[in-house]
Amino acid sequence: MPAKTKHEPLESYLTAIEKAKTFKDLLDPGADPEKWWKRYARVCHPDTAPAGYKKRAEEAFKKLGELYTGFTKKATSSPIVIAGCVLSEALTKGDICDLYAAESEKDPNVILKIVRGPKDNDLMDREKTALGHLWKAEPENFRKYLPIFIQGVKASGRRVNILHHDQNVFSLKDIVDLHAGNLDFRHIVWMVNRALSVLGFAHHAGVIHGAVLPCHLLYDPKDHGLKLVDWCYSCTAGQSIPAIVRDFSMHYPPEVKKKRPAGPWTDIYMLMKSINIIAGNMPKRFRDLIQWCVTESPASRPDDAWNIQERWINLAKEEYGPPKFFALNMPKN
Amino acid sequence: MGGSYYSKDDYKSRTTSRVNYASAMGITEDKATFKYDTDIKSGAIDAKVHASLEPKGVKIRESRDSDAHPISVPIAVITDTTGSMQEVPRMIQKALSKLMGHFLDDKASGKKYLGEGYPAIMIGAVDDYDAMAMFKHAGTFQIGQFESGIEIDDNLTNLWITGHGGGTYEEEYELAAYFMARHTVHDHFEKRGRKGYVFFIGDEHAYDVLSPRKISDIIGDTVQDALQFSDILKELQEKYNVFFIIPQMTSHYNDKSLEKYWINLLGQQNVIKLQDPAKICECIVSAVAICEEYVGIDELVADGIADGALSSALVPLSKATGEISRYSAENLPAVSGPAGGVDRL
Repeated sequence: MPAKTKHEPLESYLTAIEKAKTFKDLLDPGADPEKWWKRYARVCHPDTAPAGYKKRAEEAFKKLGELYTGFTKKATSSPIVIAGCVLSEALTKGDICDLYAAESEKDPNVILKIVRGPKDNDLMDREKTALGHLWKAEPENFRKYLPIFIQGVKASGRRVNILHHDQNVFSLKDIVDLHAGNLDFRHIVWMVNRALSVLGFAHHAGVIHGAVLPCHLLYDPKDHGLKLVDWCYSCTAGQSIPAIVRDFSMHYPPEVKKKRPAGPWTDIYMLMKSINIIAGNMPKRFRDLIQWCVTESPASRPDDAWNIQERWINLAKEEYGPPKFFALNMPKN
Repeated sequence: MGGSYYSKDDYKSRTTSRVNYASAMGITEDKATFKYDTDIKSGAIDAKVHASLEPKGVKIRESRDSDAHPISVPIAVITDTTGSMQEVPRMIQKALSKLMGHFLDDKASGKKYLGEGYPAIMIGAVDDYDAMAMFKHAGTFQIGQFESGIEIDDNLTNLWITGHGGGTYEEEYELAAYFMARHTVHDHFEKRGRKGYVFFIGDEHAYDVLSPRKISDIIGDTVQDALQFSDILKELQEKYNVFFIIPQMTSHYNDKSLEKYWINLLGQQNVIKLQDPAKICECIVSAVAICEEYVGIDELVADGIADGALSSALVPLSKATGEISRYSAENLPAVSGPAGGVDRL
């Protein structure tokens, strides 16, 4: 056992690889080879090795690949490690990025958003700026609605945003699709309530989300949690929204397409437009409130998400009685 | 503008002819190089801004992509020409070949600092409006075009190195910022959504307020109300990464309040104290390279561009723009098939 150094476990991992003759030498009995291969790769990756360790890390990383190839008896390319995160699987395709699940030393569930082309790097920066700003904003208890931004890095001119990967969440789009048109409107009621909460918070901090779309509202059906994700299209109040997500172009209010200043009214429009499009039947009073929020002219639209939230909650009380928890069961598959 | 290529041979032959001219005329090489300035100072020509650098009446200066340079990267270098800062244009002129070379040559690390990009460099200079009163304020601000070839050298050597200053602690950076914000456009932003670069080099403050009179006298625009420098900067920063470089050439270098003034306006990462003024080109190259994201500080150091002091000065910028993931770059997963995508507005 090598002496403990400041750079544990790097030092001991490097030594182990340097001494190893076969990949088996790196494994405790019964250990999962693939898991440990990735673990060694992550810890010894030359990107994250501190100054003074770079050369050893480079060599160890290379040798690790050779040892593992010998072990599995087939050519295996090194695991992809970006900023200390080992990519595990491709998740989905975003509008401007590819999304990967990954694992880091500190967090087994991270998500890497790798921009598809450098031309959209600026949009990636917007996410970093907006979330950085909002994570410092008060009141603190609204931060639970925000994704956790871990780090923004660059690789070959492409931006990579690294965030915590929330598990067990479903996008509004998926929830509606999975219920095949049979979603009780009472679920929409709590989902809109949460969304208005986070919008009010962001707006008070001077940030406009700019893409409040069914794919960016991620709900946890179990505890009715929400994460409003993808802040790549955000701007400060008064600026204009930089881009439109093509698949959802009908969700945008006129001021966005005209490059006019965006404000709270822009996000409110997009939220309610989404509800209008996907919700189907709803009590008339809710429909009337939604209609007001999707008025074409920004000047005639409400501009305070928390005020609308209050009205929304009151409508819900009148329609369904005092609030009570209403479990959302997700169909299997 | 900006369609030509930079050729080291052009630059060399020009330098040779200047040396010959200097020895024939019995003047220093510097005087031969900055002939326009020499002529003004000897009284051979009127004291006024060279036509190619005159801001008044300019509608718009553009940096456009072209067949020759499909990706043009606009970089404006605007220097204070008062006091000891008069040396700055000279230093840039001497190092111009190096500057372009660093941007364009393949490096040992196997990378070009601008990727497929080609620099379009605009040269400018500021003095103090009031101090230039004796010249009816001519020379307060001079600005060239975005150029990619030997024309950059023309712009430098046509500068009138005014050298007046006001004894106040301000120069007209705000006029330059106004011009860059409202009288320039570039494809790097319009086509790629990427910001260009403005480097102010100096050791003083800007004036907090820009009066309509100054704008009208120097640039020729009619503006109703006085503008705040901080507002103009915000406008400028929508299209450009704006830097302030303080070279160690005067006692102001050690003035903490000066540094703080610019940090408040631009952010820590965009204010660079340059210990060795001779490294001005390396400083510009490094800052642009870091922002363009093809290389990180490690590589700039390995390539001998950013030495110890410069690399430390660039650490905040590197941190702010995000650490580069160097070893992962080669095996980034391939971009997956077509996606819904976005429409830029």
